[in-house]
Amino acid sequence: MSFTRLLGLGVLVLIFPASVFAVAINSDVGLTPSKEQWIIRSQLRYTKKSDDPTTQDRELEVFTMPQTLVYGFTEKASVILTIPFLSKELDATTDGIQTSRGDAGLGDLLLLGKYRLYTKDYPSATSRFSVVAGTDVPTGQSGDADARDKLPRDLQLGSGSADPLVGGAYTWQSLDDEWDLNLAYQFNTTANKFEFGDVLTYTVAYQRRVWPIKLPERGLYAQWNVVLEANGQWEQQAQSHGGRLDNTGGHLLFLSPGVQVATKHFVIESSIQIPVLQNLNGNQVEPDFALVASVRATF
Amino acid sequence: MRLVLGILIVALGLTGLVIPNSAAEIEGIQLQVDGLSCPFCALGLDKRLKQRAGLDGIQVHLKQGVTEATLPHSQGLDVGKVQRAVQEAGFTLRGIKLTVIGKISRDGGHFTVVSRHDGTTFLLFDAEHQDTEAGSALSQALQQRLKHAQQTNRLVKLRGSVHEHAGLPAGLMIESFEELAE
Repeated sequence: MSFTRLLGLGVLVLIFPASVFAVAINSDVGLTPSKEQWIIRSQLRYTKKSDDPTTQDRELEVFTMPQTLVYGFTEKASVILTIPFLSKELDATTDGIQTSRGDAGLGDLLLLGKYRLYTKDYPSATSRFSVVAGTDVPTGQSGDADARDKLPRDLQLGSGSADPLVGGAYTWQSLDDEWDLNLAYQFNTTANKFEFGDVLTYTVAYQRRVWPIKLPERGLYAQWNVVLEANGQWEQQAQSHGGRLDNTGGHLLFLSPGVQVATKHFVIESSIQIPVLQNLNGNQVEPDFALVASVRATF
Repeated sequence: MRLVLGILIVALGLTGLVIPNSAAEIEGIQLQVDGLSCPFCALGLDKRLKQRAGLDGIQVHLKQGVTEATLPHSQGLDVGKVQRAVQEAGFTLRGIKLTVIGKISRDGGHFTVVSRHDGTTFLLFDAEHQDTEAGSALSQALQQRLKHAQQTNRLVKLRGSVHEHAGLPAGLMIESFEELAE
């Protein structure tokens, strides 16, 4: 069974440095928290991949629960820690026999620093740009085995390597709507003579307030938003023992409609990611969709 | 009977909560804050204004871009701390408006108002004469009214916008003036 054909895709769901504000659901934003402000985000993400071009009829299900904690050291500088819990299961058919393999547990931590470089404030609106840099930390198991054998790379919970990430995000936000642009690049490094390909992610997101239709003259209010994002990710081919793996890497683009409720203390939101472009190298299982639900709280 | 008494006690308690602090000497504080554009972003401002500037009763009005606040009894207003609090929350302070109840005095020939209980001092300017040079920043009519209030030692109620002066008390650009009955 050629499990390596799934390489890379299993970890792609984690590399978006997700926002913690009342903004884009599947990407980062230009906003930063206030000094000494905490924000926590608990997310549940379900990804299903079943469009297999081979006869193995492979089907991969990934549950991810990234728990993100953000702290503002100053109004411009903040630190972001994401602790992901993962569950992966791959079903495949070989010679008429269906097999199921998988793993669950802690994935690789993601530690990022964020700094707001540009700010232009207007009455009830703002324009901001921030840069982000950090690395994931190989806390997830990368050598787990089941009763059959050592699990293939894509079913491991961690990459085994520390992989630096840099990026930038711009946000225009008003009381009515919001635009977010996000670009991030992850330099995947080698572990155990294996290296996932570098990953470039990009997002264009638009958010529109739908309720209240007419803003109250005074006070705060619970705000309902609809969100539409285009989330792209391009991944280099992976390398093993110095050689490139044919069935890895490629370009994916998701269209992600979502809905969000934002209050002073909480944001509750949900989104579905639908692939609209799948240009994957070789014979890889293509994603069907991803479902996302999350809660953010600030204190 | 116990139920009626209970309701009465609760009602009295609630009434006590909404009675305005009539002894407040600086009141009706309004901060014009730019960049505040989502409900989820408001908590940071709320916290910084309380912790850094010691303000109370914070109410953010998103549509107006205005945040209202009160001062705890007998606490003076530090304009610099308010500015830093808004900055630390990640926003831009465009202006502060407030009402001062106090007495008129003179500091180096310039009219000032000294808040009655907390002693906060503001240099006084005339909103209708913003173009004039410092030292003649008050219209003749306003100067007469201030002089009268000083001579009679009457309490006055002034409302206006506040600005900082390096090394000097903050300035109050008077928009309304009222002499109070003792």
